[in-house]
Amino acid sequence: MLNVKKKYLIISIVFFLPALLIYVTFFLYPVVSGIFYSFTNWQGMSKTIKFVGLKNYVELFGDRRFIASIINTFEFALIYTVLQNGFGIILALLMDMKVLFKNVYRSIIYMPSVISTLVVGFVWTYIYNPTLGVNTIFEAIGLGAIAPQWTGDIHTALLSLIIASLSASVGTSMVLYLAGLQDIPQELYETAGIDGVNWYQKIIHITLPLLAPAITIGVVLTTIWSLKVFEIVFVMTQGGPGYATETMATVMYDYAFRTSRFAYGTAIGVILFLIVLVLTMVQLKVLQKREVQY
Amino acid sequence: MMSKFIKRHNIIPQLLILITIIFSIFPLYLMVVISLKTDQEILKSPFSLPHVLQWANYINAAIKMKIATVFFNSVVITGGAMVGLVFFGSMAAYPIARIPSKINNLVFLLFISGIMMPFQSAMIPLYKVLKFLNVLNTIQGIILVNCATSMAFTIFLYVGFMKTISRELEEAALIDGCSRFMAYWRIIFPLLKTITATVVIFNTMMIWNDFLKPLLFFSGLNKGTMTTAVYTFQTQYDAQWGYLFATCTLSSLPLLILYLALQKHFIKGIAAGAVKG
Repeated sequence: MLNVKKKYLIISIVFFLPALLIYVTFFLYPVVSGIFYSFTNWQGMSKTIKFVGLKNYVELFGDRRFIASIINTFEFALIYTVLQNGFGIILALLMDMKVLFKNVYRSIIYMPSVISTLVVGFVWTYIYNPTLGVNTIFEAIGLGAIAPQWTGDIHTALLSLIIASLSASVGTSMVLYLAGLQDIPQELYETAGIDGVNWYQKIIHITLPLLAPAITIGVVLTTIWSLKVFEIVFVMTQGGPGYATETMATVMYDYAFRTSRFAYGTAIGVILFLIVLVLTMVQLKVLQKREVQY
Repeated sequence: MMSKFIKRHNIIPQLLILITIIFSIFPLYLMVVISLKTDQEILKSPFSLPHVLQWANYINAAIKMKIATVFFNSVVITGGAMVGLVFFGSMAAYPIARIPSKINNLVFLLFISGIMMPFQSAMIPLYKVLKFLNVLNTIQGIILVNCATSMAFTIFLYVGFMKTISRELEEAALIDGCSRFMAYWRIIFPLLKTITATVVIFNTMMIWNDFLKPLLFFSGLNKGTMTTAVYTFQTQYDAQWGYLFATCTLSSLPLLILYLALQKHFIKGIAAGAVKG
């Protein structure tokens, strides 16, 4: 009996070892060692690394740029997650109705999702460009005076980035929720139809509760993704104007790779990780409670 | 009368969908249209179709972004990472899904905890690891990094799928005297086609379009990918819009073609991966 157990153990190790080695060396170890480095004074070129305790963390919480980046990151994640999933659900519900050319629509709406965020960022830089972009239309119809300054204004910059991101990603959520809708047994609607329940009531009492597992996955994955937002900011605003669009990832990149403050950067990485971890756990707890069995 | 017409033909949903389509497709339209215009024309009429197609923009862009080199790099990086993810990832998922033990549970936990770890939390120490192993700015290095960062989600997908496959086939193979290893490649692996398609499509999009990793760990002469080349081009030449959008179009073209050819798989893959994973 013991032999069988041993044999299974050896088989298991042979199978997972290659993947585990790659994963640990190039991902898990860096994340974990980052926690260690965040308590040191590690700089780009210096050979010696000294333990400095909580110094980096203390300094971070007095760093106006970092504080701004935390607030922006949360703001971005919250608005983006709500809109991405909200529009995703609404679009999926609309597409689920008897709509002509459904497959063509779906293909088109999903298309920008296969394009890199970098390219999306460049295109929206053009769209927001005051002399070339969408503001020329505002001027043409005589509304030039109320045209927003988009990424040029500290009040609208972050929202402008969210709109740019959404244009390329809303299709992903739509596809996810469309698949979720296919999993709902048709009989449930038919029974409801006999009972004289209207469309709106069907959505609230049948569709949304049964869509809950898809919503859980959708919201959690969008939150994780949006908390590490980097590329769209890096390309479009570099964190500006002022610190208006600075996110944790861009600040971290800047400190580490522009000013060589590696330890200070890893401390931001540790905080980002903790935020993602806690938020994911809380979301899973709350959202899974809403899921019903049928 | 009017309201009946609106209701019968689902006019309001159609309209809302139309708005979304414009919102989604307009940036793509703009990218292609601008990439075919001269600078004067862009200034004069920024949104209209080009009068004369400026293919010269594309020739210029292709030369300056060194398209042959970066295309080759992108293909090798994406392909290499995909081989690693499909072979090693599915192999690792096998004992986790099939052999219940404390160690296997622990290994699974170790893997899936990676889903919640942002790449940024690894990126600075990773720089040191790559330097130490002498693979910084090499193609092997960037392949391994992509493999490692995508491994968590890949294994998560494979484990979920394997739990739905019946055990009987595999047990029959074992009775026939196949070793576990043979039984895996001959019996289990061919059954994983659907989920492998999802893994490949999902990771191809992630890795081909990735910007930060190759920017940090794969730069220098003749390095870079189809995605980073757009950025390098823009910063080096402070490019005019026509040229810039020509590089953007070129860099997006391979995946767009793949998407148009394999649409069904893309859509099925993303949905299945996200819902059932």
